[in-house]
Amino acid sequence: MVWAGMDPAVVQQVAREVSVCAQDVRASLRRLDSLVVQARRVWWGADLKRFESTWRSSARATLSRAGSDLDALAASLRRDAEQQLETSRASADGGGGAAGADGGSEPPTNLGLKWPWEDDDSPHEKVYSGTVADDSFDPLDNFQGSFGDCWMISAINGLSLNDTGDDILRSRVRWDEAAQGYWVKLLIDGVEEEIFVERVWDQGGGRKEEGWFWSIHKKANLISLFEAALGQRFGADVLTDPKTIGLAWTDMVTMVTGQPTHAMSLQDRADFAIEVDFGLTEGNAVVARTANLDQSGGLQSGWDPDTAQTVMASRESNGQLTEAVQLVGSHGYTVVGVDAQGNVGLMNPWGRDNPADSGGVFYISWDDFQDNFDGAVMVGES
Amino acid sequence: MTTRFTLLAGAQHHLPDAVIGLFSVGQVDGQPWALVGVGRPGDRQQAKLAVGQDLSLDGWGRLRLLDVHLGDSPARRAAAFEFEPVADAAGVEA
Repeated sequence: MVWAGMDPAVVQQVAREVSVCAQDVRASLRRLDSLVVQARRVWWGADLKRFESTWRSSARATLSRAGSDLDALAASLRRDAEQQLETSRASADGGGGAAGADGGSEPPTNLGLKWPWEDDDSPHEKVYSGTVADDSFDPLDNFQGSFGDCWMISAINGLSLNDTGDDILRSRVRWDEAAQGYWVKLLIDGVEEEIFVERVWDQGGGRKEEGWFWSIHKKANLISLFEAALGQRFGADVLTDPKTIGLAWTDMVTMVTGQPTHAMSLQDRADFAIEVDFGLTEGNAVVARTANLDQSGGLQSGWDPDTAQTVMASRESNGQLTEAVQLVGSHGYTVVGVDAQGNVGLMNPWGRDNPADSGGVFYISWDDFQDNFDGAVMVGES
Repeated sequence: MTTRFTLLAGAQHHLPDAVIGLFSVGQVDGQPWALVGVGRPGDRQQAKLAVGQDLSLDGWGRLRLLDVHLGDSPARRAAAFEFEPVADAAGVEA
């Protein structure tokens, strides 16, 4: 085929190579970060502080920006090539043809069917200017996809419960009309870094859309953007296990929200209630984590409806605990408050209509909370 | 026509007149299972299937669980399915 103005195959190849260069820049950044950490072990005092400050404010910031700029450039090249292909197809009387066969006709797993990640582990759902709309911040609609980032979604849901937290989250993403993507802020090692996000994972977290399939249809939103940014910066595995980059889940919460976290004690009900009340009033979020509740000997964070831990709950504060709900093991929940009876209000990041607790807020007794949860953190400055 | 596909836990697959959702996978006594949801206009079904088991729905077809992948990370938990639509009286698939 003769191309007018551009050979899209070559431009797509250039885009891929620009992406590789962006990854190389980030790899260099990570290597330099670790060198700085090495220096910190054997160097103290004002000179070290000056060195670190210079590194962060100049070289590191420049490199970080270069990586993101290269991402944006690659995205722009891909877009141009796609447009050229569409134009050429239209003018070539259907030349390209449809991709055709549904991948489903491949032989199955033990017969050779590929698992989704074997083909392509990268995000491929395109974002658009409405990806972060007002309803992206409704915590009752957010839900976790197939990544193990309950910690992040619970923190985001907690912050979305009030205007202060909501403003914090909104300030961390911005749409770039020219580049047709989002710049997403991550607080890495004390420095804000902006990651350009053009595509998100369709199996990741997002917003549950009202629909005929029990509201499960997913729409990309703020959560999808943070997942993509973290995945681009550190690799997808970090979403499930932050330890792959030597961090705790609380460090990741800080990275995404830009807010510090503080461990809370679950020893005393009154102390916990006061702390939660004060924190939420100040616009903070509280995330609590269940212990490993799996009684089936299966996956640590798996959930089996037949063996999951069941507790009694109320849908209202100070209500009767008459509804049975199931708790998911090794799982982060948003704490929405502690009522006058001492019952703890929780929200599962699995969202509305989920099979464990049906979604929404539910209150469980302090005893059940203490028995099943092994930690909680406050997310915010207070 | 029989269709085969894989699905990550938490993801969905669209078939004619239906959406298949994979809620969760796990195993009990070494026996893998998948919690599957099938949504059709006006109808929602949920079933916990063991490998080799079917979910048959009148007028629609049969969904069989072929395999389950229990990765260490939730991003590597998935299931493989086979969907066989019902054929109508004229031999045309629904």
